[in-house]
Amino acid sequence: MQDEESTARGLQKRDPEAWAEVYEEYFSRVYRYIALRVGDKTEAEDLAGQVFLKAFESISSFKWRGVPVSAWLFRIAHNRVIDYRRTSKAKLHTPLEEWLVSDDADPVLEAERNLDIHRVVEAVGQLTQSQRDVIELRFAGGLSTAEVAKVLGKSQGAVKVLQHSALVALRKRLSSGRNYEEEL
Amino acid sequence: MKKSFDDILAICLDRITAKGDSIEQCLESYPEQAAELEPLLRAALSTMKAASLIEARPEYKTSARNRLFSALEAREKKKTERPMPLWGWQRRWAVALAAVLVLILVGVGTVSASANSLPGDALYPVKTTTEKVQGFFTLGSEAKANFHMKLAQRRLDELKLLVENNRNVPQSLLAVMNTETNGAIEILSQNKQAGNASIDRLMVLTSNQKGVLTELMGRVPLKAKVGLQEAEKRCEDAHARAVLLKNKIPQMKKMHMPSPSP
Repeated sequence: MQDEESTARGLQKRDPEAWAEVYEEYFSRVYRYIALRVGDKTEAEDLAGQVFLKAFESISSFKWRGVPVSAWLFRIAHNRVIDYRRTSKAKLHTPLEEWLVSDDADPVLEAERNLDIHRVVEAVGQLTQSQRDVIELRFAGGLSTAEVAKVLGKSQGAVKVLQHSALVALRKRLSSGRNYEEEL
Repeated sequence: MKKSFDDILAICLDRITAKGDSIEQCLESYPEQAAELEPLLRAALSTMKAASLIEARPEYKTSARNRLFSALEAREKKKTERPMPLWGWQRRWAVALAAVLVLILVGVGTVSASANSLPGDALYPVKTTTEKVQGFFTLGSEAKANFHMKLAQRRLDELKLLVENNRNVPQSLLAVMNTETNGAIEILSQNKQAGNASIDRLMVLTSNQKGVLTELMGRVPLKAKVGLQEAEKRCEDAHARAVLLKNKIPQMKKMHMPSPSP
């Protein structure tokens, strides 16, 4: 990626190159973040596409004040998910065997990976909402502590405290299943 | 100042995610906190690893990308269609004068030297500006369609040269190539008197685009491959539209032929 400010200026000028670059850099990360939040891959695909269209519509109101493009984009994604959860009636969940898009020839490996994803989705789903916000942005969205703080409008100190308590809770939930520590 | 455990945990996570450090390297830096840190870092790594396996289906990623670029194209089209405050003849003269000024300032030599420039070269903006001026002075819908095709072919040639010279392929080059092709299709589908020669040219262009993109696919790095695959899909769609147009032409001509006198 170019430096943040020139990327932001390119987006504002509706430069196709800048948009293509941002799309390639962030689509998968935004998608993973949403997928973990809504727990359903089909809904997540739809919502991730909407995030980029919303970003395109609202780029004229984006003011460069040192806030990274990533934080701006994930804030749109965060708000979009909140809207979605407020309005959607059915709570959808992707079945365990359908998480992966894989052409892997090894069905055993694929099943194991599906199980890993499923366990993490379940474990994250049991955290408090504030803890989830941090964990999903940090580990699925790939944002830094500072970027997470900007998306959530919290101090970095508050994000660090939430990150700690969330990992303590996650560790308990994950270790109650398979021994994940041996896999790493 | 003594760091809190929350700070140390955040530092370790940043080192692992941004710098690629291992858990062991982090633990070595903080031996006193190692016992408490290790299980939390492993839980974090396990979560990251599982999350990284989640991928959108490629067809959804492509369709979301197409929607975004359609919005970009629509916006660009709206901008160019916006009436200018000047009268038609005044506008023409203003553009002509601007072109002459550009020629004087930049120099005829620079403009001709820019003809062989590629995206990323210093003279490439001169080349695309010259094309915009040429496009402005191209009159008649069929001539405009042919001009779009000429530019689409030029972008394809530039793409080949970039790959041959192991240079970076900007996504915008592929997007512009597809946009120019679509521009030609739009004009030809609205022009009921469009000649067979233009439609044939369009079919050759779209078929050639697909062939070249397929050939280049094996020669570009993985990152560029995704963009190339998406462009290839758009070329396939364009070719299908060109074929449809070719089949429609005889019927359209028939509909517009004067009926024989009784």
